[in-house]
Amino acid sequence: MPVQIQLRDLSIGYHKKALLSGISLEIKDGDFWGIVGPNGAGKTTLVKTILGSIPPIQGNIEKSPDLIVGYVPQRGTLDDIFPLTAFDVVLMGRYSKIGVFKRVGKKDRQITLDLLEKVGIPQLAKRPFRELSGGQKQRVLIARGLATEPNILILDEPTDAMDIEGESNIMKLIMSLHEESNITILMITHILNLIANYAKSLIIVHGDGVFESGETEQLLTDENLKKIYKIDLDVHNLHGQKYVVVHSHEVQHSHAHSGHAHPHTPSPARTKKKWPY
Amino acid sequence: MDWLRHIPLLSRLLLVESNGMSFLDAMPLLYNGILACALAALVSSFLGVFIVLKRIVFVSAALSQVSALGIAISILIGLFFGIHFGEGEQNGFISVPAVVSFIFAALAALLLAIQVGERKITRESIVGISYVLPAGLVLLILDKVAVETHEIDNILFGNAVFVSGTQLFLLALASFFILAIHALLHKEFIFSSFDPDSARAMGIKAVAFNQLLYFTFALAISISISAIGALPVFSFMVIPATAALLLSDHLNRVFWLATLFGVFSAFFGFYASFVFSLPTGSAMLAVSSFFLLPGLVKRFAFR
Repeated sequence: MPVQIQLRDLSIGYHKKALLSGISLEIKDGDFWGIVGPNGAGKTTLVKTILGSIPPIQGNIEKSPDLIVGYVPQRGTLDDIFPLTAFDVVLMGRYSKIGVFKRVGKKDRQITLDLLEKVGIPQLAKRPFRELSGGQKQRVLIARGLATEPNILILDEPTDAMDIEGESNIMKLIMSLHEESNITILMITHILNLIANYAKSLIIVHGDGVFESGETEQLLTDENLKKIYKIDLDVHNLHGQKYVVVHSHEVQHSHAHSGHAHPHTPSPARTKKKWPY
Repeated sequence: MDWLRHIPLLSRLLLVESNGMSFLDAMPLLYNGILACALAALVSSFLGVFIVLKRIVFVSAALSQVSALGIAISILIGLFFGIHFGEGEQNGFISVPAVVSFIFAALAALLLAIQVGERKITRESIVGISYVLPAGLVLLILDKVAVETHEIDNILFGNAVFVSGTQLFLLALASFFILAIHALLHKEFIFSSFDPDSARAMGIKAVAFNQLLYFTFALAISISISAIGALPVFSFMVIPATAALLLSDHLNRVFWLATLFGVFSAFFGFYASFVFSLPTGSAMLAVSSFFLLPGLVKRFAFR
């Protein structure tokens, strides 16, 4: 598979202060990469560095000359004051294809409508973007990302603050785009359990500059995760799905190792939410 | 203009007298002023949509103060070297203070367009300093050149009633240039304003377009202020856009409505100032605020 993006000994951060160092990896055509980690660990900084919005502190990024990026930002970063329709927002994805000084043509409008259809919301084309639900906004932004006719789609927390149904529908949509159109996916999430069953490869960014990357199967083992997170957890397989379960005593005494809970019988009632969840 | 006297309602409005002279008779004297106000309103109201949407209303206020500082400094330096930049100088093709004011505003616009990553200084404080520091310096300079305060006031804050042919020409040229840039780059300006990160990621040079957008603000503000004054320009940049945003959920309609509201405010404000002997800038501001009413009624009555 041809390499789309190659990171070599990369250090990323702000104001010459490295947040993560020693990042080396290859993103190949048709890959599905998940980037997981708690808030503030450097996931978005990594993606912004890959996109070229933030310069790397050290190392270099090589991109394939025919690389076309479709970017799906966190929908919460967009200002609702703008009176734009869903159609207007998706059409923005065509602007780089249309070119500077040129006007939007019939073809671009048709592509925009087709993409709204593809993401399952053709009826919302004329609705104001700000009035849409979180899931509908996310579909609009995915359609906009696809409007560039990309070979890599980079998504920043596409299921953030969604209910379980919305989360599942968005993940199904992303998977179908990946499988049907062979688009490379690079997706940020802070939910390890969500990405564990979709991404073939993982980048785990933990606090204190910890960075691990590799195949999901190899990375998602009890031993490896314990080493990365330094907490007591298990990886379970249930009906072909992977679940990472953090022991309750880790939640109640996050740095103590009391060993009260049996590692293989996590009690849902006692297992409280703690990252990685 | 005699044909205007034969249009029933219009003739009644135009023949209203103030200080022994009808509006129609005063037209030849006011012609430049009316056109300058309409042009400044057109451009400012159009740009105002970006200013309100980008939540940078006080950037325009800061740019107007920096622009005024440019004029004041050029006058001070002129006096130091014995060069008089009074109103008479306006008769030349390009006024030196106007050029200096534009350079100051353009530089400030480029600086204010930069997204500051510094954690200890907020964007608001930078805009605040950019407003209050030049405003204070202008007062200090005016104090030093007190003899010519009246003339300088006119150059600094404009006189919407009597606008010179040169000022009108410069304003028309700048307006054409600004609107042409916006006609050619409208989609890029919208994308870069709405979602700069995604625009950049998807191949649009968002930083450059943002700076160019600020440059058009600086040009419009510096030229309009020296022609019609700071107060009406600032009000045209905020009120028509807000009124239009209250009324419509479609961006293109917002641009059209804001521009129409601005131009109508200029015409009716100018007329009201003549008929009721009011300050022209304040009258235009008052008229533009009436356009807020339909949107406010829609917002509160039909929500």
